[in-house]
Amino acid sequence: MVSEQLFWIISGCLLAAYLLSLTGIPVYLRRESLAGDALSHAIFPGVVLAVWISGENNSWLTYLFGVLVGSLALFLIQSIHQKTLIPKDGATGIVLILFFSVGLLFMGRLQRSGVPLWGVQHVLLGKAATLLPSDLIALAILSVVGSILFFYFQKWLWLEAFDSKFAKHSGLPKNTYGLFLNAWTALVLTATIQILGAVLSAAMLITPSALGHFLSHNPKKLILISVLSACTAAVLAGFISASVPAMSTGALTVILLFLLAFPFFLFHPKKGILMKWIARKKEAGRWKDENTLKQFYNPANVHLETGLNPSIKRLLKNRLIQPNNNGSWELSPKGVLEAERIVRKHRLWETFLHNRLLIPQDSVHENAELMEHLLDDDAEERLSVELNNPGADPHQSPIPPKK
Amino acid sequence: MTLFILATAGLLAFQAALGGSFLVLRRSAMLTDAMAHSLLPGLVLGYLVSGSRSGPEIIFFAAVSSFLSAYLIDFLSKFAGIWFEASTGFVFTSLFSIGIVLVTALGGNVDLDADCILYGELLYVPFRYSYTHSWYDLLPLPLWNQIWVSLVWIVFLILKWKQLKIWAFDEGFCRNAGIAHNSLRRFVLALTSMSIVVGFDAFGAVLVVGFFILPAATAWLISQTWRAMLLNSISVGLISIALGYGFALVFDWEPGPSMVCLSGFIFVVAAFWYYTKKSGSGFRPTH
Repeated sequence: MVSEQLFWIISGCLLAAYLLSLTGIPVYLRRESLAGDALSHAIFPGVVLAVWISGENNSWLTYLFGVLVGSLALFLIQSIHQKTLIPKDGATGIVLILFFSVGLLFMGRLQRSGVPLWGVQHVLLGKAATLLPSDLIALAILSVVGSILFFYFQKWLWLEAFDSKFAKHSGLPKNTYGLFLNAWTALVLTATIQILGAVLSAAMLITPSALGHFLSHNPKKLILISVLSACTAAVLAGFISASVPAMSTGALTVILLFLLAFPFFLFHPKKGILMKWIARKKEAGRWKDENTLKQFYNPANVHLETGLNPSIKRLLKNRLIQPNNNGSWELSPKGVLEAERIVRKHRLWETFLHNRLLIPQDSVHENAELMEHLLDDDAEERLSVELNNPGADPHQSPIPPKK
Repeated sequence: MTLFILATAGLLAFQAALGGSFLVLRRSAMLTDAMAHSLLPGLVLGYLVSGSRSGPEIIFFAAVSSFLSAYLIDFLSKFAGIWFEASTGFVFTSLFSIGIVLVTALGGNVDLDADCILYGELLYVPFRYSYTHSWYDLLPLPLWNQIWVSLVWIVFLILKWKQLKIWAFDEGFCRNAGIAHNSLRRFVLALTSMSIVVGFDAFGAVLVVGFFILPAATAWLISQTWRAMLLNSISVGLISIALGYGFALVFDWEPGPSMVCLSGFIFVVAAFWYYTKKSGSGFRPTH
């Protein structure tokens, strides 16, 4: 008996995860993630209305009103944004709050007058544990239809997401497409909020696509990553919640997705926050090292650095500087070459600024201080050729020859 | 009784009008929604630490958790290159789920039911005192909380009036003028999280957001200057509270949703007025 119930819960969450992650991709790529969140709350009055009229939960009326109210909400977000100067996220918030509080008002009024509202509270927090076979059938049908629609209209979907103007000129009826997508999203959310609840449905709509788009900009990989991550999280959450009493499967799915996505955001080898931070530190270190080398190159300030700062340590380790007799440091033969390379870039750039851009001699130094770190060897060589291999910079300091 | 309820709601509307004006102008209105949801894990932690339902620990933990969510959203969108709206959705739904799991894991031992999180307990405001037998018993506890947070807002506004004005309209200019706009933003978000937490107690998580967004958006449509925008958004908030409470009494509605609906109604009227008038009314801040 337990295993049968577990089966229902897992299949329910799996179908919901699949459906939401697939639907979330166009929503995310159109940069309407928050509209998805608003939608999951805005459907609420529609559901209350349907339950009130039909007297039962999960009737076809629920879907009808869900789609109608949801489409109306998205249409209003669009109109408020276009017809007034309210930015998109403000409009989203306005519609979310307005619809939701109308729903609350309506529900409170009905409850006080003694009308039974079965299952309305699930809309807010979900009820994966008490899933009915009819819910599953609805989800399964939607999943099949959704997959067919998705893969049939895939071409338009990518085109519209990446260049909506081009899509329009290629013959995509943009308004109809938008309306259809809105209605479909509302339909999917109406089906899933009764299982997962409003906030968790929004999470399953947004997070998988965000992860997919973070990891890959290739459409196929994006679909694969977002759908697979959502489904894996749902199945795992189902098994965990079966062994822990009174655990919300939907919330657990979202947490697992978070645990899956967050490390990627932090530690992805190329785009992760940590790696970017390390790269920035490294770059800053390189600038510092090059500046230190330049100081040693200038014979006027040989006595400048005596302490062991991180930059000196790095230079010692790379054998670019060596101890001298005065208890200070001097450039090693390798260090001289490296320092000349930087000074050459600095002075070449000063020459360029002065000779070609006609910038006065006294204001070229600052800019060259930056460019000496940025010019690569190829650019440096071309610059030198462009300036007819000058021997001295505007301040008459010699430009070290290329070695 | 009624006076206490109205005063509590009015002070919340005052703080929300201030915070909302900044956030709506800075295109971060949905951050308030995210922050209102993300206070849940902090709330449960505070409950676990203090063992009571309305102690200062709860307010502290919930405010910290809601502020951290806003910080994390900014952090992810800035450094991981995730679109701001996706980062918002990702962070707050995750924190909300953590809160839900904590609540369900604690099971029946927790007195934090979903109803009070969502709808608040506005009508119980006049019955909640500190019971310390001191002058603090003069006013209900939620009202005291509102008073303290409102005072912090006022002090902050007086100290940083000029910088805030520039920041609200032109972040780029702020950067060039050497104003620490990042810390201004953090301050506004921290104060916003405090307002949300003390307001949520009375109104529920979702409705607090309404007080932040709706009056500020309405005021933006009908105002010509920054001062007018702040004053208008405070007045819209206060009017909708007074009228909403009246409607709630007359028609036997829930007072919280009724106030937000009234505020939404005022917004709709203002939007229509703006759309039909369509002159140079309103001002558009730069990115």
